[in-house]
Amino acid sequence: MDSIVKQLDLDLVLLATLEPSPLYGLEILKEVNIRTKGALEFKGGSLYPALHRLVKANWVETYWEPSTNGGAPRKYYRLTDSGLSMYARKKEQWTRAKSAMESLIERLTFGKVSHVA
Amino acid sequence: MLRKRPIDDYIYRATLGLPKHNRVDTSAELRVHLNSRVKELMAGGFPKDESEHLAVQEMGPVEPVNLAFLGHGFTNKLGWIVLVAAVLGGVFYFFNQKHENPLREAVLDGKDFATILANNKLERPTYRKFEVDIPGNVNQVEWALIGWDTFKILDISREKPPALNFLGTKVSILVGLGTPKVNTQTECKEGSAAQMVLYSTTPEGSTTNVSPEIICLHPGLRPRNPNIKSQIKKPTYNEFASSSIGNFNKMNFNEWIPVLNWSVIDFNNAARNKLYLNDPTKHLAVVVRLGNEIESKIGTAFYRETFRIDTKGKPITTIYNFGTDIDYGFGKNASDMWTVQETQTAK
Repeated sequence: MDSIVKQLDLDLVLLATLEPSPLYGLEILKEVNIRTKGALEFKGGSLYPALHRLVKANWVETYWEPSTNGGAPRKYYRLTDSGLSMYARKKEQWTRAKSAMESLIERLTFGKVSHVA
Repeated sequence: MLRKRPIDDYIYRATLGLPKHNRVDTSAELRVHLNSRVKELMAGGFPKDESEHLAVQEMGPVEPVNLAFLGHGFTNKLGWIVLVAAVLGGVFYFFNQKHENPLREAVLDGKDFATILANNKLERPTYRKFEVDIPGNVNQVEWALIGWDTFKILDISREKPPALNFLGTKVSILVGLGTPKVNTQTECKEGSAAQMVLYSTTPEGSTTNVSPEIICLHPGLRPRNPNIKSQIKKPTYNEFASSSIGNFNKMNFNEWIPVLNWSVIDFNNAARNKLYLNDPTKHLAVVVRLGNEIESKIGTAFYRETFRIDTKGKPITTIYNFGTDIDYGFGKNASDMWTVQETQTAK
């Protein structure tokens, strides 16, 4: 869902998807779908403006390459050095936020349970 | 009529407003994406038109995509209408608010009193304060002392609004009523008597100093009727009565606006009051006008006179007329604006 991706930080999703290897637009959508086992899915309409924003920020660069199956050439996206360091930073922020949220939720659940008990 | 393919329509609307090179690049990328999806859907058994429709559907609504590409919403009619309306509204507001109630009476504050007390020339029994908003396109402000009944200019002062920029500025004027504490002989030329002091102040933070202006009345401007015999005298404080006629909602360029008027009343000689009605020195007003270009004809009704004594002790009247053929434009010397005619009036 688009709204869930927005809450999760679309930039981090895209940087994480492009980190292993360069991909073109449709591949990115499919890769996100596969790697999250269908839990994260967003529309193509949200993808391209977001990719263009990453290019403007110099986190990602593009190049055109002929299609391997004889179709039209495709525009590939790959992380730049500054994109890689941004990815590392965002990953760390996300890990800290995730861990903080987990402890918060655990404590809340524990508090609720103890209150009921 | 040829119907646009949904893919073409989507690409057109998604990339609307992008710079040409960027638009071509983005269109190609979107087309590759959509065509690939169409192929996949067709391989799954969908006919071509349905595949195109579904591929476009998968992209989601096009407006947010276009907005995201551009970073602003001025690609559609509504966006432009809003922009144009906002600009026009702003321009209209700018030009109108500057003229809204441009002249008003203000309350004297501590700073004004400090200024008055610090300057001997400004020490007067009574002060009234007025403020004028000066729009940015004004390059000169004129204050004049006139005989109210006859509307003759007795004295005129011109100043360039200080610290003026295109946004305009505000000028305050203090009008002192009563006999000024000045040396008439040194401050007023040709034996005229000091009648009032004007000084204008500039907006907060300005470095321009307060500039007092002594307004003098010329004895020769006493009644033009030779049967009326009177002599100039310095009125005392209790001979002044004033009323405000300020607070104007609109101020047109080159139009005189009264700021304050007052009359000199001779309490000791009620019978002479009738005569004063035709005496320009008895009913006075301060008027102001803002100028950017004064038409030559506007001043034809005004004149001023000065009197001096020649070597044989005879008075000579000098009449300064506004001529209709004179280009009364600002930026010229004041003397260029007047024609001078000297006449021997007394024998």
